Amino acid sequence: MNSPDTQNARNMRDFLELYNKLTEMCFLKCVSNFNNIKLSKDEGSCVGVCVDRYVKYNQRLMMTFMEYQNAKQEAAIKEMEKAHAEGRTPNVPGLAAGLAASSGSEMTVAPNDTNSPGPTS
Amino acid sequence: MAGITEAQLKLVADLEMEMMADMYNRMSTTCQKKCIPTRYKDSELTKGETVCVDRCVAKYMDIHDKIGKKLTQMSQQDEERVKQLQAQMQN
Repeated sequence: MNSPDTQNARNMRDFLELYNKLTEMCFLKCVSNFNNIKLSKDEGSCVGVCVDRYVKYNQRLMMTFMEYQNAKQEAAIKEMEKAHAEGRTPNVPGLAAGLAASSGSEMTVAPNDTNSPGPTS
Repeated sequence: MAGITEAQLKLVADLEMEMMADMYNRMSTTCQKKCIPTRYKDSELTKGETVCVDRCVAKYMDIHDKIGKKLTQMSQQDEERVKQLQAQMQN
């Protein structure tokens, strides 16, 4: 019951929170005129651009973060092996946090994947 | 997703309720920023303010729907791309 279900639930929740945040952000940015009850064409296209930009920004952020995390983990593993070989305690800042993050990792997107943060089925 | 259990359905329903409440709160703060001035004398809303609130809600919900459709479409495109990649890898 645990890992794939809670992972899916977390993904779903993240996606829906992103959705709400996006709506608020793009509304604030694109709508200032309340003379009409319908959305004008400009406002509509502004919202489209706003959504595209934010999603792309989010994807890039996640990719870069994951690359950084991977590099950091590899360095930590190397340091631990080295320390073990030399018989000393490893010098890895944030080791406990790193181990916790890697075992219960929330990242479902691999760096080379083009998946957007949507719900996985 | 095959075989959705009752527990999962309940989770989804709860999540949807929570997200709707969150959307409502955001809409509330946003429309207040846009329509209700910070300086006022009277307790009654002016006609302009009430009209603005109506239109603000209408536009917010409209944008909410549009973005929902767009995000679903993007998710579907990505899922198809993943399926294609997987099919390629198997061949």
